[in-house]
Amino acid sequence: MFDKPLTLIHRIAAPTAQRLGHALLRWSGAAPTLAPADGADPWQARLDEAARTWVAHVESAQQQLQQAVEQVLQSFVQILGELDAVVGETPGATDGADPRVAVLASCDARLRRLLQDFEGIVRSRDETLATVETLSNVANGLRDMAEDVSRLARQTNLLSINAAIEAARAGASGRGFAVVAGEVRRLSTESGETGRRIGGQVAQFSDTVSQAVGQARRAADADTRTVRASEATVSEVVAMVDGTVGQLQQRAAEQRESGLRVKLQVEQLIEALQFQDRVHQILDQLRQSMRSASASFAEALAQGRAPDAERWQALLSAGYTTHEQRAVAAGTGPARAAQPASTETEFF
Amino acid sequence: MAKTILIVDDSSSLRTLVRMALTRAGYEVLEAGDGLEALQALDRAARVHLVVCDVNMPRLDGIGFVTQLKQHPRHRFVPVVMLTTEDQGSTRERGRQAGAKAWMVKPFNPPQLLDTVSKLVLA
Repeated sequence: MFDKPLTLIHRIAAPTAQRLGHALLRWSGAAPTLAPADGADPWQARLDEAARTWVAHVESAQQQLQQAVEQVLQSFVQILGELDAVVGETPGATDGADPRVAVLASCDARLRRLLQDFEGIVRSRDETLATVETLSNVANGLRDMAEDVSRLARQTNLLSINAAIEAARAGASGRGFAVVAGEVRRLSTESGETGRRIGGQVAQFSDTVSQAVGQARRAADADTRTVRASEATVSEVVAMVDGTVGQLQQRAAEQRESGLRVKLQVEQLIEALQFQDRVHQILDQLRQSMRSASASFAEALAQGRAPDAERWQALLSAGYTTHEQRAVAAGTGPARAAQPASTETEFF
Repeated sequence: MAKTILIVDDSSSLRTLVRMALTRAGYEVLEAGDGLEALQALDRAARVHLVVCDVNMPRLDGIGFVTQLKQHPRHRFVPVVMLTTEDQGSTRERGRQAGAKAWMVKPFNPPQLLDTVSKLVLA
């Protein structure tokens, strides 16, 4: 992850160290011939100038790097925020669902309720038809009863005729009975008429009910065909909606997965940008080291002797914080010094 | 109510990274660029539940900040997680003696940072 940044440091640091080394070698060779006081000033001035220039270049590189990383980081943070909204991983986000899916799901549910309503209508109409058919049966019963009344009237009429004959045979003593027999005959005749009228009315009622039942059955059949056709249409629409909802949900899931993959990559990129902090610290140490080395070198120059090797080494490595710096100083190279993000915490 | 975490680091990009990790996990964040700024931020803050602090910073470094924090009248019990490029045992020991509760080496892994914070953040 940090190969490139370390290569960058190496590019900046290596020539700098090389120049410093050349200056040291030149100084080492020239020092015995220098006049201790007067001759040291130009050397010291050149060295100071070189050190200031190198430090300024390092500072400039640090600033440019920091600004660039800041801009990249801000952009990534913004992208990550938008990805969070898309994949629904932040509070208040739309959970990544396509609103069309919710609308279609609502339509689906309402159409299914409509189908249930249709079935309810068919059941209700069948119940009404059954009631009307019951009325038809009642009408048939009434017609039978009217027939019974007519039959009883005819029998009563025959009985009254027989009674009148018997009264005539009885002569004067049967005269009163003949009057009664005549009344009975008249009543039976009227009963017969009433029975026929009832029969006629009941037959008319029965015909009307039969017609109504027939019409109701035909209407029911037509309704059933209409309802079945509607059910079929609604079922087709529901199936289409189901299919569309399924496709949209699948697409939304694929988009979410894709978003999560991109988000993971962005998070890894953001994590990798921590190299800037390490580079900044390494360059900070380098600047401090250059200043210290320059000062130490100037002091040694003024005294007309090379800096002490051990103190010089300590001065160069003062302020190391990263193991890359120690690895570079030890000569194991920057590439082997790269390390992944820490996943361990030491608790005290 | 969201818990407040103070991030102390002289690198603004690092502060951004830590802030992003913490705010996405629901924490509120305060920021300071060095130890002195951090002490001033603590003086102003009503309540801070944890501090995430770098070691190498200008003016007042992380170890110095923790030392002073442990004498602060209101915030001396606030736990501190050191987040630094320093991986030397001797520096860790100085941090432990100053009063830090945990040590993480940069580059950090955001889930690991969140796990560490959740273990130490004040109730």
